[in-house]
Amino acid sequence: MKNKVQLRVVSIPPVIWIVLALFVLYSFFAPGFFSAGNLWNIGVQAAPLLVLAIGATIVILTEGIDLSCGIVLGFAGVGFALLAQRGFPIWLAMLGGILLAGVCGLVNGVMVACLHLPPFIATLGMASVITGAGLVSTEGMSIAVRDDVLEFVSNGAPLGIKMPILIALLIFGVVLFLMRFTAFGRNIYALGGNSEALRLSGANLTAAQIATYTVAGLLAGIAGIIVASRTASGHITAGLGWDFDAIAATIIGGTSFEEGKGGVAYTILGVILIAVLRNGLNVAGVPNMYQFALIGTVVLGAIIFDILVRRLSGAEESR
Amino acid sequence: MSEAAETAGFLHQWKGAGFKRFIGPLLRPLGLLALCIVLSFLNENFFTLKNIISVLRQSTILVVVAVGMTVVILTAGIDLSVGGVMALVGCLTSQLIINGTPIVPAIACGLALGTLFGLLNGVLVRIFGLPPFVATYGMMWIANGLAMILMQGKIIFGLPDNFLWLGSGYLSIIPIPVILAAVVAVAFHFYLKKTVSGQEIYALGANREAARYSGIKITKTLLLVYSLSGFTAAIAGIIMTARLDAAQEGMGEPFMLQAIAAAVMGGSSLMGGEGGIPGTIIGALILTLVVNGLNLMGAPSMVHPLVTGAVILTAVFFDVVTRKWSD
Repeated sequence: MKNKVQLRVVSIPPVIWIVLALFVLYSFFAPGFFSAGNLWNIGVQAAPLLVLAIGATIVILTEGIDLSCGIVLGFAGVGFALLAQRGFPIWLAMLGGILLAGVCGLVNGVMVACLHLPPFIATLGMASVITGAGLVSTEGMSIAVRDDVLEFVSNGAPLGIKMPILIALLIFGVVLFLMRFTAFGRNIYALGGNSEALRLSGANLTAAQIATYTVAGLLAGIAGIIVASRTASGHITAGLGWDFDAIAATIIGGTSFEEGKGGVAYTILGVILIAVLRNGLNVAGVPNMYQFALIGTVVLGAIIFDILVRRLSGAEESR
Repeated sequence: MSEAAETAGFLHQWKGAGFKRFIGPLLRPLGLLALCIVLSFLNENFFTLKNIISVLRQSTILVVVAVGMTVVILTAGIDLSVGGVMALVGCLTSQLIINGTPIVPAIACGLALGTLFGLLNGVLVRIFGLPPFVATYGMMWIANGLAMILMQGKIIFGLPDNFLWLGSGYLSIIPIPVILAAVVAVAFHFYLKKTVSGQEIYALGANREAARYSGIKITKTLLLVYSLSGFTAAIAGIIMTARLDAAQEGMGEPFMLQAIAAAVMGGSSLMGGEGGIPGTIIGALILTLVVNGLNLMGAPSMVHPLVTGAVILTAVFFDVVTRKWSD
C-alpha cells in the first residue's frame, strides 16, 4: 500500500516540471501571458479539451483507444447546427448534438465489445465514416447558428466563472465521482487491470465496455457543443487533431495503456500543459502553421520524458 | 503412431486449416473479379485495355504505401504517419527542385527524409515502448506540421518535365508509375518470402517471445520495418507529386486509412504474422475500383471517406470472424 502511494507521488512531477518550465519560458518570450485576462482565457480554451480528454482517459483505462473523438466533436457541432437551422429550440438542438455523439460512441463500443475489432481501427474507421457523413450533410460548409444562448454558453459567467470552465469542472466532478464510487468506475479499472477477474465476479464485460465508449462519445458531444457555441457554427473539422491532444493529455497525466493505471484526476494536468503550451505560442505570436509541428514534438517529447522518468523511478524501486 | 491415428490427425488439421488454405486465398481474387464484372455493367468501356491500364495507374500510389504498411502490420504494428510523410516528402522534393536542386539528389533527399521518419517511428515504438498507433499518430502530426511550415500555405506546381515523367510517363504502353509500383511490390515480396530477414518479420509478428528466444534481433528488425514503411511512403509521395504536378500540405491524408484497408482486405491480420504483398495488391485494386465505381456513378468525392471507413470496418470485421472460424 505504501508502495502505491509512493508510486503516485513519483508519477506526478514530470508534468508539473514541464508546465513550470513553460511558465518560465513564456515569462521571457510572451509578454502578457501572465495577465489575469489571459489566464482566464487559458481556462476557457482548456475547458472543451478537458471534457474530451476525460472521455479519452476512461477509454484508455480499459486498454482501448478512441481515435474518433476529435471528429465526433465536430460531428456533434454539425448535428446541433443543422437541428438549430431547421428551427428546433436551441436547447433541444444541443441535446440532439450530444446524443448524436453518444450514438457514435455506442457504435464504437459495439464494434469493440461485441464484434471484437481492435479499438484503434474501429474508431479510426468510425472517424472516416463520420467525416464522410458530416461532409455530405453540410456539403463541406460551416453551418452558422445565431442565438443568445450560445453567447451564454460560451461567454456567460453565472458564478463569476466562465460557463465553459464551469461545465468542464462539473463534468470532471461527476466523472470523478462515478469512477470512485460506482460500479461504472470499478468496471472500467477492472477492464484494464484484470478483465478475467471482472468476468468471474459476474459483471457484464460487454456492457461495461460499451458503456465506456458511449460515455466517451457523450463527452465528445458536450465538448463539441462548447466549441460550436464559441464559434457560433458547426463544422465537421472543428475538432481535427483534438483527439491527439486528448490522448496526449491522458498519457502525460500518467494514465498508461496497460493494466488500468492512472485516472481522470491526473488528466487535468496534461490538459493544463497542452492548453498552456498552445496559449503561450499564440501570445508569443508564433504563427498557427508552426504550432502543429511544435506541439506534436513537445507532446511526444513530454511522453518520452515521462516514460524515462518512470523507468528510472521504477528501476530504483525494484532495487 | 498408427496409420489410422495419423490419418485422423491429418483430417482434423485439414478441417481447421481448409478454409484458410484454399477458400480464403481464393475469396479475394474472386471478389476482385466480381467487382470488375459489376463495374463492366456500369461502364461498357471497363474491359478495354486502355481503362485497365488507367485503373492500374490510379492504384499505384496506394499499392506502394500499402506494401510498406503490410510489412509493419506483419509485426502486429501500425504506421499512421504514412499520409503525413507522403505529403512532407512530396513538398520537400518539389521545393528542392523548384529551388534549382537537380532531380536525382532532390529525390534522394525526399527518400532519406521519409526513411528517417520511419526510423524515428521505430525508435519511439521499440526503444521508448510507445504503442505503435500513438507513436506514429504523433509523428503524423509532426510531419503534417513540418509540411505546413515548408509550404507556408502555398501550392507548388510547374515542376520540370523529366520529374513529371515519373508520374505520367510511359514505357511503350505501360505507365512509369505502374512499373515503379511493380518493382517495389516484387522486391518486397521476395524480401519477405525469400530472405532470412523477411522471414524473421513473419516470425516476430506471429509470436514475439518465441522469436526472441530463437535469436531474432527484435530491436533491429522493428527499426528496419518502420524505416521500410517510411521509405515506401516517401516513394508514394514522390510519385503522387509527379503525377499531380503539384505539392501541397495534407495531400497524403486519405492514404493512411486506405493503405491499412488495402492490407487488411488483402488478408494481413492486424494481430501480426499473417498476410503478404500479393493480397495487399488485390486489396489496393479493390479499393481503387470501388472509388472508380463511385465516380462512374457520379457520387461526390465527399462520400469517399465514408466508403473507405465502411470498407475498412467490414474488412477488419471479416478478418476477426474468419480467424475465429479457423481456430
